[in-house]
Formats: sequence, structure tokens, C-alpha cells
Amino acid sequence: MPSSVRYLFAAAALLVGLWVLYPVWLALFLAALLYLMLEPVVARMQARQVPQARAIALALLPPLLILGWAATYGFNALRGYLPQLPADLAYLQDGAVRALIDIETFLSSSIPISAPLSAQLAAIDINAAIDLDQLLESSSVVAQLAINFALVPPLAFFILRDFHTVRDRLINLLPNKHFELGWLIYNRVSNRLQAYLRGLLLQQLILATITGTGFWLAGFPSPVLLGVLTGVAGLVPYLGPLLAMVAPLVIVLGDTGMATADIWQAVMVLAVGFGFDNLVVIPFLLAGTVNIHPAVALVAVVIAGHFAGIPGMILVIPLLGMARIVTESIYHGLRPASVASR
Amino acid sequence: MTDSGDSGNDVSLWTSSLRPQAIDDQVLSAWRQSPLLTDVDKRIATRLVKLTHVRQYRTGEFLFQQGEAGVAAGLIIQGRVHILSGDRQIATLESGDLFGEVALLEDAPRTASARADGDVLVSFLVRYQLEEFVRHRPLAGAQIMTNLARQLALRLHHSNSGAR
Repeated sequence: MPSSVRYLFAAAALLVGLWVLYPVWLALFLAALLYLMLEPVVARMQARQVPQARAIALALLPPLLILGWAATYGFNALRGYLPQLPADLAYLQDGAVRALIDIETFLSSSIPISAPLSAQLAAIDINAAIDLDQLLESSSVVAQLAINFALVPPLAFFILRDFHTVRDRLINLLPNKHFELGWLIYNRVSNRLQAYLRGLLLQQLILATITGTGFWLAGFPSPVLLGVLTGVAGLVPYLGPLLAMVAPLVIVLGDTGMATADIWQAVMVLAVGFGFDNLVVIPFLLAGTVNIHPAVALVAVVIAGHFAGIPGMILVIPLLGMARIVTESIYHGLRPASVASR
Repeated sequence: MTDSGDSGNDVSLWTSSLRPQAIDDQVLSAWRQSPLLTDVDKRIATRLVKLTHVRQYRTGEFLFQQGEAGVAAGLIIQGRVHILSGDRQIATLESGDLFGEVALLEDAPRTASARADGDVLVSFLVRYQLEEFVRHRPLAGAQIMTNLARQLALRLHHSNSGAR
């Protein structure tokens, strides 16, 4: 079989594989993150003569306990909260209408502008728009989440144990003339991806810590949860700060003892968190790891969000980085970097 | 990229679990006699050899070409390989000979080309796999790296003697 046909088959198989695995992307993503975090730990234990399976089990135990606790807590909270959602949505709508009336009153006293947004918002039937009954009846979202979380431990174990073997066999399928090129591309992609994902993990931890502390100082309820949500929102490149505003906005509008003006405190906290993130953390941790032009990245994030939602927005940057390395390596071949760049 | 034509498509998918036992034994025996695994524990050497990739080349097919960045060292299991500098043949390697060891240390360009003379079976040890192996077994790794340094020093010595 000619190389081109073989590569076409491989590309088709890859696309089919991605399509088939899409429902469990979260499990694969979390298992891959666990692999990146734990592989050095397992290697150290193995270097101290601990058998591989035992080393993997020991390394996996603490993060899985935390993940299990978080998943159980999250599911229980979600299950308990869903029946209250219609009432809370109506309450939120009232809060938002009140806030808009305040803003309209302020605006009409300062400048002669009349924008009856509060009346328009009050007229919207939010519960009908969300179709809550259907959401409650359909448990597919929760079930899919549960399956994803249940898959993380075995996937992480098998990736830690068998990744190198599977990788070796796959690269060995390459024809002779592309064998070393395959290894070279794998190594470059793997190094960049590992650096990016490890940096991303640390970046979100720093962002969550800064904003969590800020929310605590500003007197917001559940500052830890708000910090964690900000960290998760920060995973979405460029649009993260906007997504991170959702939770504090809900808390302020939900009349949890916070005044409408307190939203500015949330904006300040997020500005400090994301400012530090953009000015200090990203240049030191992530600069150059994927090497994508900001304009390209921004457009890619928006397009990926349109076609694949939040998962697409999170994954598009590392995928673009990988595609760039593969293209460059194939174009420049096995020539050393100094020759290739000439 | 190499320009060895499509003859390289006839690849043997011989990972350690698929290749015939006789070849496996031959590969193990060849690597254990190679200078790279001198004084390395037999059990550990066997594990390392299982990571190597056995590949088959046809007459005239290039194993690699001068100027390319190499990522693997090869050990000839069967057949002969010509080493070429430009168009000039500078050496002929036979079964048991190790070549391309510099690639086990860095992305330096290949200093010569290697071309199969007849059907050739070569076992490749890839740098990235060696690095992973050494990270998991630092004691054996130190011995392997010492052997590699000795081998390269020997090559340098021969090269200097030839230049005089």
C-alpha cells in the first residue's frame, strides 16, 4: 500500500476516533492531566524500585480521592438544587430588573436618555425560555458527567501504565523513511503540549488563589467556590474574564446580602486576578509554549466555541499548537533547526 | 526528509511482541554483545532491548541521509550497510556493528549517510526511549551512558589517529 493511502487511512481513523471519543472528552482530558502531573512521580518511585503498578496506584490515590469527593459533592448539590432552580431564576430576574431600574434612574437623572431595558427584561419568561421541565426530565447531562468522572480512574491508570507501549507501536507503523521523523514530531509535540498543559494547570491555580482571596476580602459569600469557578473560566483563552463574571453577577443579583454596587468589587477582583495572570503568569509560564499569534488564537477560540462549545474553546489552542509543530516538522523534514530556519 | 523512494513502505511491523522469537533472540544477543550494554544487568538489558525497533531495508535504501537530524542509534542484526560521506563510501558495517550513537545524545545532523547493501535488518534504539528508560532506572542508566561516552571517545580517538 503506498504511503499516501496509508496516511489517508490513518487520518480518517483519527477523525473517526475523535468523533467516537467526543462524549468522553472530559474523562480523557482529566486523565491526560493526571498523566502529566503524575508521570514524574511514578518515574521517581520506579527509580526507587517500587513496582510500576503499585507506583501508579500510590500516585493516583490522593488526586482521585479529591476528584471523587468533588464529584460526589457536586452531584449531590446539583441534584438537591435543580428543583429550586425555577424559583431562583425568577428571583434572579427580579434582581436584574431592580438593578436595571437603578441604572435607568441614575442615567435619566444625569443625561436625558431613556432606555426601558428593565421593562423588557421583566417581560421575558426565563423559565419557559430555558424549558426547565425538559432539563429536569432529561438526565443525560448529569449521566454523561457521571460516566466521565467514573472513567477517569481506570483511564488514568491505563494511560500511566500503557501509554509508552501504545505510542511505540503506533510510531512503529510508520514506513522506514518517516520513522525518525515520526519520533521527532512526537517528541516536539509532546514537549510543547506537556509544557503548555502543566503551565495551564499552574496558571489556573494561581488565578483561583488570587481571585478567591479577593472575593473573601470583598466579603462575597463562598469565596473559595468563586475562586475555583474563576480558575475554570480562565481555561477559556481570551473570553475567560467574561465567563468569570457570571458567578459573581449571579450572587449579586440573587440578593445574597450584596448590593448592586458590589458588582464593581467583583470586577476589580477579576481585573486584578486576570491582570496579574496576563502580565506576570502567562509571560513566564506559557509564553512560547504554543507560539500562536494572538489574533489567530482569538479567531480560533470564537470559531471553536461556535462549533464545539466550551470544550472546543479550551482545546483549540493546544490543538493549533500541535498542528503547527506537525506542519513545520513535515515541511522542514529531518533537517536540523538551524538549517531549516535559513 | 529522506529521499529513499517508496521501498521503505515494506516495513516490518516488528515490535517486540510481534516479531518471531528467532529474530528476538538474535536482536537480544546482538545488543548484549554491543559496547553500549557492557556490564549492564542482563534483566535490565533485556528490558531495554525490548524497546528497540527492528526494521527491514532493501538494497540501496537509505537508512538515513547526511545532514538530517537523527534520533536513533542502529545496530545491524543482518546484512551490510555502507556509510557514505557525500558520494564517497567511507566504511562498510556488518552484523553486530553499532552506528549513529551521537543521535542518542543530541539533535546533531547526521555526519554521513547509511545505505543498505542487500537486505538488511537493523534494530534502532531511539533517544527519547533511552532517556525515559534511564529516568526510570538511574543506576543502569549511568552505566549505559558511561558506555556511550566510552564508545564516542573511542570513535574520536580513531578519528584523530586517522587524521595524523
